[in-house]
Amino acid sequence: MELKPKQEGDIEKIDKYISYQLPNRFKIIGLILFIVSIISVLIISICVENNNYLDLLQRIGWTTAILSLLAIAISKEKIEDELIMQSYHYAVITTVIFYLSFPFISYVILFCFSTAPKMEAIKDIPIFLLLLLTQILTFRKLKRAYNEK
Amino acid sequence: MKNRLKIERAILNLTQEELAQKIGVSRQTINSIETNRFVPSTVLALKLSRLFGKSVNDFFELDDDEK
Repeated sequence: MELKPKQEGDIEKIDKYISYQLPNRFKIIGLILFIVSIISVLIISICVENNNYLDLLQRIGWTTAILSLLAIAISKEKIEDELIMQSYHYAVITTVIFYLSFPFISYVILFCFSTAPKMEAIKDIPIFLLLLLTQILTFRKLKRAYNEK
Repeated sequence: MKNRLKIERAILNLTQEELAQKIGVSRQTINSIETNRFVPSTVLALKLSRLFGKSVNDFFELDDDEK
């Protein structure tokens, strides 16, 4: 199947975005950073008494923890092959499905155990829209790019 | 899909690790193919075919419900 230059460009661009990964050593760096940041947050919440500094330091600690987990998540394995890529894709899909369903689970729990439940999921609607639009548009772009004409 | 990868590997007297190294994949990938948990791509099937010196059809076979 011959692809037009524009279609090839689209596929290459999407490939470039979705296949970018950090080198394997970031798994160790990320793990060390994560442990250090979690321990720091615990120590800070016990030792720091000034409320202004406490909030700032805790935010720095949690942000570092999230960034270190991100580094672990997007770094390469020692041997990259098709099984690893398939597992990586499944993990991403599972995460997205979990993220999409979590507010509804929390709403059901609230509905069951609270007398006046609030729709907590409402604040996540823009993120849902963005996620679903990204999925739909990327899929459409890929489908169009692979479509033979 | 059924396969005879384990038998072909035994004929060549290779361990999973050695076979994995020869075709540039991880040992887990070889193990997953042998236990029918993972269906390899055409590229990987052709690499195995070249290594075993046999046609892909000789060691990969469709299940009855896939025919």
